[in-house]
Amino acid sequence: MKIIHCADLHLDSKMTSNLTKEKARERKAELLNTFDRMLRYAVRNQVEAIIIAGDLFDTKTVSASARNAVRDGIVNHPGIQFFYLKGNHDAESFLDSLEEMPDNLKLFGEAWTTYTLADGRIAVTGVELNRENAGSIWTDLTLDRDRFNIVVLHGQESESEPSDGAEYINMRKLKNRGIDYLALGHVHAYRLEQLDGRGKYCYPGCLEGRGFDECGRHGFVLLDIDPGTGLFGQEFVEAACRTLYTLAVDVAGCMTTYEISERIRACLDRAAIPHDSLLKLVLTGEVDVECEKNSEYLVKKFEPEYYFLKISDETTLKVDYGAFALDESLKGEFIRLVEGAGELEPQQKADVIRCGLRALAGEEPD
Amino acid sequence: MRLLGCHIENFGKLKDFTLSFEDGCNVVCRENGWGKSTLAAFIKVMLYGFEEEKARDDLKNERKRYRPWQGGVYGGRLEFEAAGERYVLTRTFGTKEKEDSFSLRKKDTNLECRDFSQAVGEELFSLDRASFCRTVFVSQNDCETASTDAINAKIGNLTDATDDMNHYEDVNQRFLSLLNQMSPARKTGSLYKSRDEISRLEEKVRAGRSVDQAIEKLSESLHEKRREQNALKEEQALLTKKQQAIAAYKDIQVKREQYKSLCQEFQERKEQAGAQRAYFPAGVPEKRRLEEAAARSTRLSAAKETVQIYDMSEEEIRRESYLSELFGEDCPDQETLKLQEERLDSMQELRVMLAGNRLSQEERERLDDCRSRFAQGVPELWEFERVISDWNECVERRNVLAQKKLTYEALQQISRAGSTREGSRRGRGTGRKAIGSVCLAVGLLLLAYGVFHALAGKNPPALAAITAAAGFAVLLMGGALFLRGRGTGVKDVSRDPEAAGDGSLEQMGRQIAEDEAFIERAGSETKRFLERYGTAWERESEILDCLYGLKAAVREYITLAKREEASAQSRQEEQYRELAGEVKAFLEKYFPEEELDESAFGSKLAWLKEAAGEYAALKKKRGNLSSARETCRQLNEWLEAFLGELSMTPEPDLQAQLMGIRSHLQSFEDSLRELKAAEERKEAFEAAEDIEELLRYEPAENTQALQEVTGRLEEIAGRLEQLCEYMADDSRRLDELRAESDQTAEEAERLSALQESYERDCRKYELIKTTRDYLERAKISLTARYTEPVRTGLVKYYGVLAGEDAGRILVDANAGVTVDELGMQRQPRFFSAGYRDMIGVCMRMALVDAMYREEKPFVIFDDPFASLDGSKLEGALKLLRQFGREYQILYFTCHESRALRPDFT
Repeated sequence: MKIIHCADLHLDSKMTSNLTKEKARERKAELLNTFDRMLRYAVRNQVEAIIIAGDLFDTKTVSASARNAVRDGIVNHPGIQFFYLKGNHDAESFLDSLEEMPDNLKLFGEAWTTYTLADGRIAVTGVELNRENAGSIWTDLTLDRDRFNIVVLHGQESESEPSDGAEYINMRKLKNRGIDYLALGHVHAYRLEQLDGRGKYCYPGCLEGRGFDECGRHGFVLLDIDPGTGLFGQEFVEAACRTLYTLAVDVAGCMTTYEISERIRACLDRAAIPHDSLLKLVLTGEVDVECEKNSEYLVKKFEPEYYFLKISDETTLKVDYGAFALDESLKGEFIRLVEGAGELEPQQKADVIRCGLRALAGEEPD
Repeated sequence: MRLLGCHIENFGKLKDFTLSFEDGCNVVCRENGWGKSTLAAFIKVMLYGFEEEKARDDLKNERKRYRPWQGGVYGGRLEFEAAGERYVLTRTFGTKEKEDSFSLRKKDTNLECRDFSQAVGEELFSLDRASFCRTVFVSQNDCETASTDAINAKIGNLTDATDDMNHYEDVNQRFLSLLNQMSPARKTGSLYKSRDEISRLEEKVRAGRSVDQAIEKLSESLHEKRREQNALKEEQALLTKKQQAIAAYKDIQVKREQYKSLCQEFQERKEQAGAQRAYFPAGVPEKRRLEEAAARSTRLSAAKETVQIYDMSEEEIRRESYLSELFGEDCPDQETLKLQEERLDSMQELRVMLAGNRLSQEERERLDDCRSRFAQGVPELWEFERVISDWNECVERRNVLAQKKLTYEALQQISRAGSTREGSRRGRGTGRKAIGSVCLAVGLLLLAYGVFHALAGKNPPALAAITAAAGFAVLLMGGALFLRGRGTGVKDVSRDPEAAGDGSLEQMGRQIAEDEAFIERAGSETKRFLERYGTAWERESEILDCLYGLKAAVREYITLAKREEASAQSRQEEQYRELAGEVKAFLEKYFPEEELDESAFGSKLAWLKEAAGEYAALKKKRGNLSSARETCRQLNEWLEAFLGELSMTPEPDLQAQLMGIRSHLQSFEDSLRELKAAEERKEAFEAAEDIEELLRYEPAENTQALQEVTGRLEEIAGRLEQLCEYMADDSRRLDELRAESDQTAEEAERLSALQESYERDCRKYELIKTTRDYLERAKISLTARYTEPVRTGLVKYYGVLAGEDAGRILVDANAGVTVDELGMQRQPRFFSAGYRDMIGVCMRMALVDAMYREEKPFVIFDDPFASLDGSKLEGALKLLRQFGREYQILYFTCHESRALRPDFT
């Protein structure tokens, strides 16, 4: 039996942190399309169940288009069982909006709820964590070890028991409980680990990366379970229509924007990042305090090559104090004075020197 | 660096002025208004261009101020030496800067060069205009000075490596501006605004938390309602199931009843059909056979009726016997009888004809008379017509002729009387009037006579008409004459009545003559006609009757003659006898014993005909009766056999019996049909329903609970509806709250972004502030390092000028000068003008010393010592002389006392 495990779809996410309004709208639509693509994949591959391990939506208020897309997706695929466990982002508004609960939509509550598949040989058990049940819920979990047990949770894995965290999952208390596959949600990057001698736990990550903290491949996990033997295989299926990349470019020693641009070009050529990607370039390395560096120019230069591009300047300044030791100009005097300033940290000194020198050169401070 | 000379084409009041300069001190001592300051200004303008060009005040606007008073080319030439090279700078000025011209040539080669641009002063002195005016150019009444960036730069940049000091003030200003823009303390500062916005957003986000609480509370409430709703729905589903089960049992009950009814109906129909079947002991007859039997029975009834109809009475039998005996085998048929009748008719006709043509005695006598009368010929009838017509016209004309003649005579008299009167017009008129009156009277009489006779019918109509017409004509003529007689003075008209009267008279005369001739001719012809046939009359009035009598006699004669002729020529009697013989022979066959007279032929034949007819009718009746009786017999036999087949005894009224059988058969067939239909219905029901299940089904629920269940379902429906409304309200409110919460989330996001940006800007602000601080400190540190040479120079020059120690004059790192006076450093502006000038001149010279340690520039003094007293003036001149040893000086003064004397060395 094939089951899809997905989580953190964050449909209706505003996507405005990096993008313009137009592109944010486009990405929002792409998010819905990716959900739809996952459903089509499920149909093509005879998937019988889809586990949504929380954060199906991003906001408390769900837009009509997102609501309808999900509702229609569920209703129009009656052959697929949807196990939807609400996450910390999910609100009741979606469920409230449903006039009639589709037969193939299975929900979980604040207590352990179990559904079975494959004539009872596969059990899908889940609970929605909150402040009240997060501490005590683990002892209530009872699983039939003869079944293939899938446990669905939404939260951050933890080896300890935080005092107030509803979103934390005490992994220690889930070990050796007969879990074959712990389907988790909350962490936005794919992760598969061994839970104990019997089972594994997995975060499928989000379907689409939204910010540069969600770079890399995104999609869902396809489980292929043999209900008879309890053996299963899992496969990460990439579903995102765009990928976010963060690329560090070492520009140490560059003295001009042109030199930096050349370094970036070389780096991009090596990385061969698809042009429909969202890219963040991080400039690193130590540059001379008098380095001429125009980030705006660099953005304008490389921006047209990608769906989105931003540059983060994380370079440090190098000041050659020795070069100014005998400089009798105001600049020399200034650098010597700053160098000797005990109240300033080295990086502060570098920043002050760069700011002063840029000003004396007729440029605005960075 | 030194000035070699200058030539002024036109500049202010100076025109075509040339001056050469030597090394050392060049004194220009001229009276007031000569143009010394203009000359100094010329040199400055040649080096730096005009100042305050945009000022409207002509005094401030140098381009306007030094515009040539006499017109001509505005500008001149300046020759100078720098770095060992001699240059000729030529400039002309227009009304605007773009109209200016600039030329720099090397004096030795007279070739243009680009060693200096138009900013020649700045390049030559490494000073901007302001710094130039504060140091090298000492203008009248402006001896005070202060350090500028350029001065500091010039002092500080001893190595000439950079000119960063030149930008310090700009940088400082820019930093200040940025700090002001970003100021966290000023309301207009971006950091202040950001902080403000952050506070606002923080407040909103704080307030948003209560929204989250409200959402939580409302969500809980909504959940509670949903739970109740779900519970109610579950109960509703159960109850609905229960209700359906009860309803289903009811349905089954109804079906059971239905099935029972169907079975019962089937059984009833079956029994009914069996009963109907029992009526036919020998089997159910075929409908066709029964129909045939019915038809035969109908025919039997008809045959019986026929027998009744043709049944013969005793009299008829007797008559039949008698007639049979009479006619035997030879009963005359209709044709024979008809032939005899026709013969009889022909005899009758012949008898009549024979009787008609035979003349009586009287007729014979009259025929004889006529023969004698018309012995000479019988006149034709058309002749009578003509003679009668002529005679009638003759009589008419004769009757009118008398009146005509009377009128004619009267008219003749009138005409004659008219023609004899030849008088005056009056007289003639009177005459005409009289004639006219007479004519009117005569005309009226004639007209009245004619009308009377026409109406009375006494005279023939033609005569009456003629009389009336004549009367009318005379009346018209009389009228005309009368009217003309009344007229006077119309000469021609008087002749016309006469002419008219003459014409009519003549015509009348002709008519009278014609009438008389006609009367004569017609009268004589008529009389001759009558006489020819022996007719006599006594009076003319009898003639017409005589004519008609004659005509009647002719007609009678012709008729009688024809009858006589016909009678004489006839074979009719012979025919008559032949016919009579034939008829008699015929009749004798049937009446052999009777003596048959012709007169009895008709009656005998009629009797015979009647008897023959009667005999034929009786024979026909006899035939019909026999035939009907035979039919009855055959049908009876068939029907009895048919009933025998049915094992039924024939009843007297077979038709009624058969009708009854048919009715039974119909009923039986109807029963069969109904039985079949009932069976089909039953079978259809059995096919549609599981009969075993139907009969086996027992209700799971108490049917009595249906009412309770329905009641509870209604309650649930009501509550669910209520819950739906509440939940809709809650959802609406929840949506609103969620929207608010999302808004808060957005604002929190904005707050976070704003805080980040604020922190970044704060860091930038601090960075700028720190940078500015360090830059200022660097600048002070740098300038302080070169304050000492300036102060040394100041002390030196002040000692020469004032003849006293300059110990109490202090110079700060910014080249600012203060004077320690009474224990406090005071600004020079608090001192007298002379003192200020002394300090200013000395400070300028000290600055120049400090700035130009290698190539010394020329210095311009435009009468700077005017405010000094005598003792100080001596010192000032001494200072000039000393300064002139190192520098080329252009010294302008207006007074000899302030001029350098040659002996003063």
